[in-house]
Order: sequence, then C-alpha cells, then structure tokens
Amino acid sequence: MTPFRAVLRVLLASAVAFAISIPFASVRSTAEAGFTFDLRPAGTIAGVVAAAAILGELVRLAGRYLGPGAPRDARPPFALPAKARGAALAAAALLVALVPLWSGSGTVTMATEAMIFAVIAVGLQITIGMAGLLVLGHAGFWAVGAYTYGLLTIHLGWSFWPAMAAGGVAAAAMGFMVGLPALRLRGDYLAVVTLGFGEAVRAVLKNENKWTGGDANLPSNLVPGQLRGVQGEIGQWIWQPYGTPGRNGDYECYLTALGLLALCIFSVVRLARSREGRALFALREDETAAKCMGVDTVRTKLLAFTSSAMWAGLAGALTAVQRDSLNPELFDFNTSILFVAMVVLGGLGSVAGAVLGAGALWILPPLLQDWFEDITLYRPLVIGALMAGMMVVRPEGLLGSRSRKAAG
Amino acid sequence: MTALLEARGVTKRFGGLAAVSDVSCTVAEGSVTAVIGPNGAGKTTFFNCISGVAPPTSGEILFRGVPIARRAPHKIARLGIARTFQNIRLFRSMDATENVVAARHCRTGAGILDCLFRTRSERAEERNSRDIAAELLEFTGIGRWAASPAGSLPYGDQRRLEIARALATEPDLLLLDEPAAGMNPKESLDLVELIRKIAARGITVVLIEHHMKVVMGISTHIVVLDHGEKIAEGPPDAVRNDPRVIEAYLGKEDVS
Repeated sequence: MTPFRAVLRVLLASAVAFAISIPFASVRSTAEAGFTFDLRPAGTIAGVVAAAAILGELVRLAGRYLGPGAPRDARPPFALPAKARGAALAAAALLVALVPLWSGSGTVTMATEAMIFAVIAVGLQITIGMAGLLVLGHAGFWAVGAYTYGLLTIHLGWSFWPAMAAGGVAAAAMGFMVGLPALRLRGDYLAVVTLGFGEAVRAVLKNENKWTGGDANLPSNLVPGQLRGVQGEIGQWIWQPYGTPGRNGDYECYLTALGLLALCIFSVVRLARSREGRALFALREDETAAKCMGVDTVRTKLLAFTSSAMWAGLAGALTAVQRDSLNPELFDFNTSILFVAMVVLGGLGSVAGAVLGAGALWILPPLLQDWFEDITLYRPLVIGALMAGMMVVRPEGLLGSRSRKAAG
Repeated sequence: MTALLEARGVTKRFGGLAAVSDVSCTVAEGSVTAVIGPNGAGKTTFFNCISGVAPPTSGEILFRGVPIARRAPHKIARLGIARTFQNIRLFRSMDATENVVAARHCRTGAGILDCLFRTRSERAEERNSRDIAAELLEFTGIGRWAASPAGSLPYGDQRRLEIARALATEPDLLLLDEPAAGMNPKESLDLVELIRKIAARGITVVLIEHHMKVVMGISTHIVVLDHGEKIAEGPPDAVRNDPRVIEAYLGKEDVS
C-alpha cells in the first residue's frame, strides 16, 4: 500500500483504458467523411478511468475499515470524532439533497435512477454478498414491487406511501416464497431457479394484459398520465405544509430515493455487523460449520431472501413513480445480470462497494456517451469485459474484503 | 460417573454400505474418550451422527437422557454438543475473533430488530461475546492472531481456532475430529496439554485420533471401531492388549 504503488496502479489503469478505447472510441466511420481518427475520446476515457482509479485507491484505504471483515469498532486513523462525523454526514446529505435545485433535470433523473439501483444492489448484497446465495432473477422482485405499486395506485387509488410499503411487502413475500424451494439448492441450481423466477414474473406481466397492460405498458394505455399525478402526491406530502411547489415531481422522487438509499445502507450495514449478519457470512463461508455452531440455516436463508427482495420491491415502487409507464421488458434477464454485476464489481459483502458498483455501471455509460455515441448499446459488452477483468485483477471486488486473497 | 452421551445401536447406511453399524457405547461425564480405528472405520461418520450433520439411519442417541438422533445440527449445538472438523472448516475470510464470535450464535438471542436498532441488550451481548472470544483465543494460545483472517493462520493454529470456536458454544460435550492431524510431535504434545485444560474446565471430550501418543496420553476410555462396528471398548491398557484391536491394526497372525 505504498503511495508509489498506488500511483503506479492508477497510471497502469488509465494506460490500459486508453489502449483499449482507441479502436472503438477514436475510430469512426461516417458516410460523408469515411474513416476519421480522433484520439481525444480515448484520452477522455483514460482520464475518467484515472479519476475512477484514484477514487478506487481512496476507497480501498477506506475499505480496510469499512469492509465486511472489519470489526465493528474499527475506526480509520483519519476518522473525525463522533460529533464532527455526524455533522459532516448531515452537511453532505443536505448538499446532496439540494443538488437538484441547480442541476439539470436530466442529471436529476439519472441520479434518481442510480440511487434506486444502489438500493437494489445493496439489498442484493444480503443474498449474494453476505449469504453467498447466487440470485439471477432479482429483477423479478423489482418488478413485483413496481407493478404492485402501479396496480394499487391506478386501479384501487391508493396513495403513495401505503402503495410503496405494499410494494416492499409484496416483494418480500415473493422472496420468502422463492426462498422456500430454493432452500434445498445451492450454487448453480439456485441460480437457475431464481433465473426462472425472474423470467416467469416478466412473462406473467407481459401476457396478463387486463390489469398490467401487458406489452403495451402499465398506465399509459389504461389511464394516461395517471402515474405523473401520483407522483405529485409525494410533493404534496413533502411540500404542502410549507406551501412550496415541487418541480414536476422529479425532485420529490430524487429526495425519496435518497432517503430510501440512506435507510437501506444504514440497515444493511447494521445487519452486516451484527449477530444475524455474522450468521449470513458464516453460511457463505461454510454451511456445515455454521450449522454446528447453532445457525438455523433455514431461518437465516429465508431472512436473506425476504429482506433482499423487500429492498428491491421498495425500489420498484419508486421506479414506478419515476417512470411515466411500466413495461415488462424493463425487468428482463439482462437487468438481473446488471444487478449482479453491480454487486460483484463493488465487492461481495461490501455495502459501500454495492453503491459504488451501481453508480459506476449506471452513471458512467451515459456520461461517456458524449464521446462515444453507442456506448449504452455496448453496455453488456463492457460489463462482461469488466467482470472478466475483475476476476483476474481483483476477484474480491473494488471494496471487497482483502482477506480472501491472504487466504490464498 | 453418569452417562452424558449414550449411543444405542447407531447405524448409518450409505446405499448398501453400512459406514456405522449397530454401535452402542456410553460416554461418561467428565471423561476423555478416544474413538480409534483404521481409516474408513466410520469414526467421522459416527461424529456426524452425533452432531446431526448426517443423522443415523437407525438407532438412538441420548444426550443427558434426551433423544437427539434426528434433531437438526443447530438444535444439537444449542443442547451443548460442539465439534471440530477433520478437514478444517473455518470461516476462512473472517478474522479469528469473528470466527469465535460467530459461534456464539447459539448462546445469543439478538433478533433482526435488536440488530437494526442496536438495543441495549444487543450491545451488551456483543460486548460479552467479544470478551469471551478474546478469552478463548488466549486459552487456546492463538491470541496473537485475533485480527487475522482465519484462512491465513498456520495450519496447527487453524486447528486450535476450530477448538476455540467450538468452545464458544459453551458445550458440555466436545467432539474433536483428529485434532492432531498433520501436527509435529511438539505441537501434538502442546495439544494434549490443551485438551487436558479443556477437560479441567469440566467439559467432556470425545476425540478421534490416530496419534497413539496423544490417545494413550489423555484418554480415560477408548472405543475401537473397525468396518463400522465396535470391536473393543475399555480403559487404554485393556484396549492396547486386546487381540481383536491388534488384529484390526496389524492384520491376523500368520500361522504357517
């Protein structure tokens, strides 16, 4: 961990990124100009990667104190005293909460989406990262939350908060039900079962078109503009007492997502460093040994499935609010893979890693779009390359525990 | 001395093979009992039957008179039976302290809400578990590894950590599956000392062991298994001279 080696790693990362991005970011062919060559886009990508690597080095340092294996009372040497830390956190939260007031609506939407994904990724960390149960159909729980919210508000006229809670409860119940048969399975088999669940949810939503609108989107066909109206409700709840109007509902969404993410991080971190969380980690490390130390594996696995699905469901409700309409295709297999990628990229078992992974995989591609038009199309390719690279260079993830490496 | 553990006709079949066949024996409270026998004699399977990892096909096991043969492993652990594993099964990427604290699971009760709100009782429980973990790591002589990942410990100390972890469940009966496997003579000697100290705490010990020095040095009672059957039982001296035991280990004397 010498500073020199850290600098070397940053330089290496940006050099590799530069080399890789030349062929597909710098070379362009257009009908008018034929082939054109411009090094600047590759340079920009290298710059972004360098920035990310510097950030990575910083979080790696932090990870030693925040990682999954870190003892609960560990404090980094540069930590502020408790009171100052609280104040700094509050100030940072306030700053983040106020960002939409001066940033463009595109940024707000993207940030909101990233935060929703972060909630899902942190929740997924409970099953994949902590308990070691590979779930490949997490988009299914997200869909259950989103459609529960949408159907309750549109068909039954529920208001925002109860419908959102119902989305979480419905997804949690679904998580419990998927968990029951999955108890007897491990590894690949479990992954296949959850994959099947995710696809089944999508197929049902697609083909059941009396209530969900099927392929033709949930509300837009049935009650146009209904969701936007619902969106205003959060605004009423937050702003009405003060008489300040919200801006098109986007800001309310942003704030709610921020609040949900904070709540999610808080509870999952606490879970990770508690008796129940330790049981989850023990389960991941060695199920037989965990059993013999008194861990009730059935209960613990169901806890993991249920709570993980609940966060996806709550996030789904917010997604339903945020989008104008819901389409089953949003919740397809690729999305489930994206969730897993976020968790693996950030580091198995690390909450901060999951947030980082979600942010990186959701925000970076659109940011790079300015220089590289089709990057969102290439997202699966980039993610695949990233995953393969991670397995070679840093199998424990950006913020994962380093101890597994020490174990050989 | 009363019987702490009693096996009655314990049989474990895997398909047509009876890994353990009709084994009955008793373990007296406060004793150090050794289970010995050639490789493949069914010793580990017998441990798996007791600890609930692989419940017996037939027969009954009584712990303090309570039948446990078909109970789940975590319930058996809660009753007071702890074990170590022949092929070390530590929580490798967790540090040594966390390994021991994790084993406190069956003696702690904080639920999910206690954990989220860090209630007063949850905090007290955590503190207590950490104190116990620190004490046990010192007791087993691996205090210096408290913050190291379990998988990075030297081999012999991993075996000690397994023992510390098992002790954290506050057992009345400790099952040690080849604790001295792969240890050099010096380490084995230290281990004998550790097992004596454990017995002195009032914990009944049953161990599977191949090192005869270890076995003869500490056991008060020996059970010999061969091909899944109990062929002899008794105090060390009697077992050592039992012709069937000698036959099992060395083969039949050639008459010609």
